[in-house]
Amino acid sequence: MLINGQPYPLDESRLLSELLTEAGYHPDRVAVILGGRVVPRTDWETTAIRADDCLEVIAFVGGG
Amino acid sequence: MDKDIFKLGGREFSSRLILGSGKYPLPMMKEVVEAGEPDIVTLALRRANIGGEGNILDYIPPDKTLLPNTSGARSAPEALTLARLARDMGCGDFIKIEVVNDPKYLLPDNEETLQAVRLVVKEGFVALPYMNPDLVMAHKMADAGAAAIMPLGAPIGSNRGLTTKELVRLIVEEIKLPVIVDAGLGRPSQACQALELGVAAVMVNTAVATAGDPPAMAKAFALAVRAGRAGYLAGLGRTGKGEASSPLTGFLRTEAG
Repeated sequence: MLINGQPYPLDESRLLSELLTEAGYHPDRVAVILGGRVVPRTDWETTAIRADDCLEVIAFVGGG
Repeated sequence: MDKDIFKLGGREFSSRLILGSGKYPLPMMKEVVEAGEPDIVTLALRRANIGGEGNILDYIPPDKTLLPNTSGARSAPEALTLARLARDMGCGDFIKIEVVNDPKYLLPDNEETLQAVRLVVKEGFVALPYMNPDLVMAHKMADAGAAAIMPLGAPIGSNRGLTTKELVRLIVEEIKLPVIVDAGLGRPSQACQALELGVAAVMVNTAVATAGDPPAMAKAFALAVRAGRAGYLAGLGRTGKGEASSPLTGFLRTEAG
């Protein structure tokens, strides 16, 4: 699978909530796009991520 | 005297300086916010890094209203996705709509911006469109449910000042929404000038971030904005050809005649 365009090793499907923590993200500080759609954080614990998924993990940064 | 405030999305704001958070080392952002005392601070959304220097949210005091922007969006649907991401982060419903397709001058695409306002308003966002100062388009933004109009003073990051002054003046006179000059202001005097015109607020980022002493410049902008607002409220004096300020009668004679 890909996270932010980079390959991420995923042997078996994993819940989104677990994957984010495992990949090193701070769950309170990110939002997620899966297959072009925003996955609300209330759905993270029921959303399974598979080996062929592309995930975008987004955070606030400084900007004008 | 009544409080001098302006309203966005049902909330009241007294500081007329909105600060951007781009281009700073994170710890300096905190100093800049403390010096400029804005009520509203803007942010952007990008791919998250793992590790790194920390998160911008840890450097903005929690009493500030966050105004995420949709920078990076090239179309209305992309702006909507960014708005949804911002809201999912739990930082409120305010969204600065910024849709840009012009890589050279970074000028906003008014047509896509209008469409984006329609999309986000339908989902309950408080939409603040950053736009070219076109009065006809500003009316359409207002009709679409925008909470404010954010005309540019000059291209983003250019520090060139209120080059659109006459067009902004028309929007201030005709649109019954707060007008916030966003982008291009480079000096405190230019922010002051915008407030004298009657805009509700100005938004500044690069002018402060590229200053020799950014916190001191944030303070300078805060003072300029207050002066400009006070001048507007006082009612500017008329302009004319030239007129003596001192009486033209009763002159004394200093030479024996």
